[in-house]
Amino acid sequence: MRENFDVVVIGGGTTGTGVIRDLVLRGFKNSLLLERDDLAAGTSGGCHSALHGGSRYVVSDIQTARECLQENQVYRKIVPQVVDPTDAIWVAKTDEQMEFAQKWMKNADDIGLPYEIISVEEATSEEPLLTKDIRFALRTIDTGFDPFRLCIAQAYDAKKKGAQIRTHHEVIGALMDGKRVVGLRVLDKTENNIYEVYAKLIINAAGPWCSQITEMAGFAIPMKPNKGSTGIYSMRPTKTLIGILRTPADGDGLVSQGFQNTALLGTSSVDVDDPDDADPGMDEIKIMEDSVAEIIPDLREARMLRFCTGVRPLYTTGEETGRNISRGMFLLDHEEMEGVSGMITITGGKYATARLMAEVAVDMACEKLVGKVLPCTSDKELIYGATTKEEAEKEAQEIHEKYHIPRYAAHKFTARYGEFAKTILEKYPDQAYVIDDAVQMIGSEVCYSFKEEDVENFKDLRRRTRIGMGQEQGTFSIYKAGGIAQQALDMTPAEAEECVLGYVQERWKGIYFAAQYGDQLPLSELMQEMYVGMGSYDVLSLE
Amino acid sequence: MDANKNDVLVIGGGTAACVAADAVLNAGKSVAMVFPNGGSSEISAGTLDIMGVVPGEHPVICDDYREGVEKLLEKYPGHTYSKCKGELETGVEALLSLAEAGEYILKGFDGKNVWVPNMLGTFSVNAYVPSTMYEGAVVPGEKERVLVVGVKGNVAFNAQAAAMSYQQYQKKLGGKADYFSTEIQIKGWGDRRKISDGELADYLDTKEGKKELVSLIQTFCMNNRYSFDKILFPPVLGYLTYNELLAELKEACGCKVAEVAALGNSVAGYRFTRAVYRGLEKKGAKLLRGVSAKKLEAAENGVKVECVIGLTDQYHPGKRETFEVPAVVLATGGFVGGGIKARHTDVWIELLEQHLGKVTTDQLDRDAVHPAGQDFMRMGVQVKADMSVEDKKYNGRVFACGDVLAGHNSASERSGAGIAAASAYLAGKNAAAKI
Repeated sequence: MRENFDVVVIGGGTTGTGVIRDLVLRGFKNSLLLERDDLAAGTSGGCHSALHGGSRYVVSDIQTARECLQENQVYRKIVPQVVDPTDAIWVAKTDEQMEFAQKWMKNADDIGLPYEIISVEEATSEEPLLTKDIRFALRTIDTGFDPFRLCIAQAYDAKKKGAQIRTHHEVIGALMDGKRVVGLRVLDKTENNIYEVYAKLIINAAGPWCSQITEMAGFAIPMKPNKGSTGIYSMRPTKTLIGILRTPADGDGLVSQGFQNTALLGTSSVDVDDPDDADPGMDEIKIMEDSVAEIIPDLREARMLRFCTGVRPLYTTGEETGRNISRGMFLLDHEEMEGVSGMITITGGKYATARLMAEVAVDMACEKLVGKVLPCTSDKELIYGATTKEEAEKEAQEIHEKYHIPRYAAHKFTARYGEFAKTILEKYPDQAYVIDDAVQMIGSEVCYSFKEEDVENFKDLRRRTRIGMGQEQGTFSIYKAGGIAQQALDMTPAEAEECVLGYVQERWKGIYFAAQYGDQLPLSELMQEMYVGMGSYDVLSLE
Repeated sequence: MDANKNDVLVIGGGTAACVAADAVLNAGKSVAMVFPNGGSSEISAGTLDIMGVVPGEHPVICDDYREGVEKLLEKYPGHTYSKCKGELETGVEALLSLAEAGEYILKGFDGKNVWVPNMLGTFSVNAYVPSTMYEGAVVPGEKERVLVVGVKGNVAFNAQAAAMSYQQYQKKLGGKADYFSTEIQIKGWGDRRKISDGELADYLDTKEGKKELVSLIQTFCMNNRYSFDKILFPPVLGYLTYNELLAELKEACGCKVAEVAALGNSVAGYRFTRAVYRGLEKKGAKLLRGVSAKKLEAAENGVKVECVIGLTDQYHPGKRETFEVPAVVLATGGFVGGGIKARHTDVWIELLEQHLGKVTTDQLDRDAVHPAGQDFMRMGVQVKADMSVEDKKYNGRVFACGDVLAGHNSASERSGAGIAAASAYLAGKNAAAKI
């Protein structure tokens, strides 16, 4: 039977999931999202976990700063539990940076970004690891967040309200009717089945892979995939997000990840040819660490757990490269530009501006589908599961009392799931214990995410639950998830092995680089002793 | 208690350190050991692996570890064993008798390797396993009925999943057993949902704990029309009185009883290291616990070792003391043990002030569980045939052994304890000869 949709969205990152949510809110419930891997598996998952409040772009890109500021406030309202208002301290040390600070404050005043100048003493007493020889400091709003959860929350918000989300379904061709895209050819990667879907409109939100999609319709778009490498430390040297007041460059700051007690060093900017071929650059990490160590010297004592990388979907019709390309958003109407109707592309932008990107894309979709812009409510409607901080705290306390889960774990748990937290434990009480002591992840989450959040394997499970993203990188936790999957999800030992080893392999990708840096060799040795020496998976594998 | 000028000073507190100290004593000389803690032996499974698998694109499982060592040396002629395999038997014997003196009985299969079930649901290969694990080993071809018991709240071991997995993984090893599982609930520690291996072991060391577990199992076996040939437990049957509890359980069950192997849980590793320490102390070794060696310096006819005594932090620098001894044995372990340090593109051995260079992509495989093993595991210090470190500045009076040595991959080869025993015995013997 032919499948007909109003709109098909390509891409399960934050833009795509934002678009499908907005579509549903405006009444286009017969919509479908296609993602070739998993939600937040590409650029969104490789993001550095700062939901920009605007402060970074105040000088370099004031429009983006304005959008970030506005959207940051929106996210705090519509999905408060996922957002961690850590605030930021920006510091200046050199003459050049002092000068930059003046420009920064002027622009911040212009766009209404709240900040206060604090004394060096105050800054260094609040953040004792900051070097004492900084000359200027200011505090401003900023937020950390869980990039997986936000993306997933948007997707499931749409799903609860009627849309379809298909992960591990890859678009492999465009169905054309003359110069009009009428549908897509899709590969279901779990079943290896190829099928067709038809839609009145296709919204291409494939991020750095956008051009690969439009090429199926016969034309390329000038994407400049740009790689950002990050390094993740095993602890939080600072409470707040720390940044250097200067034009964005490699190693401007440290993002303190309150939700899992790690910190993230970011972020480089390097053009790449193929968005699928992006290894973190060792030199970039070195440059960034040297740069941030100028203001936090003890950073050199911290251990790097892993390096990872995300590829930005930068778009330019000009000659500029790298950091000179705008971080702004681009909405491309291919009917107007290339004369190919039935498909629009939304690309560029920041994670923090995804909702706004979705809004402008869906505005255009409305015009194309019904001839007028229907009112947008995505900035007002709460995202599925949203709870306020206070409610989340209260629920955490109740969970602690009822299930004997440590308060700390219960707190992280309610921050991940919001109002669904309790339901998860009620449904799967037998696994209501912490299985990952580093990120404080609960066994019931394994059952819930496989049953209700379209998880196919433990790599997907990580994006839902953060399992193994802490200090032990899965060494002592992932086999426990394997056990639960066998016990409660009817996985066979061979399937569980595939999941566990698939996960170890995925973690190894990041550790592989951190090990070259030296920092992760002890953990690497332990992992070898665990999964080779003791586990014997090298010779006993059921595969 | 101090080291004095006639002692060999062994730096380290793990398996290799203990064997080296024993070799010195057996040579009729005196020995002192300095160590801040039990090192990685303390979190090990408490088993002895000598040679289990010859790694490679097509890894070869060794049935007989002695043949395994020969096969390994054909493939890797420069391997650590090429220098010290002559002392393998003596070293292993030394370790077995030290452990036995501390009432930790290790049992082997006369040159044959044995596969014991572990907490991951697979099997681990060893030459010798403690008496608590011995009866759990796979017996090829034997149709047995095995019950796997889990303890509710002890989340490190999932008995149900483990039993399902053992059923599958035993096939490659010729096992024909049927694995069953059950979960028991111990109530003695109150209203807790989660309990660690260590807490459980502490509880089972108490009278009440033992009584509760034994009576639970007794009831289970009595009211059950199925009988089992073997019952497996997680490795939590006490830190101190595990032999007693094991005997009681066997009597209550009327069948074989064993613990499974675990890594990182500290119970079995703790038993093993403490037993070996007791054995060494009985023989007259001086164990200077809580002492870390900070600096080695060559002296006339000896080595000066600067040590810090006691637990230290930024406010408590500890007391510094320098021992001058005729010879030193370095048994400080690999990356996990702390003998090899690695930070910021540099890999070095602190006490030897020796840099091992950078870890490169040649030493790391993209495949996490690679049958040929990760080459970075082979990093370490180069030694001469007598196990003295190559650096001339120490005049041949500093020896090294165990995982700090270059040229072996203890995880892929399952050779950790064997390498430690063989290299440490040789190092200890030659160090003693310097007095």
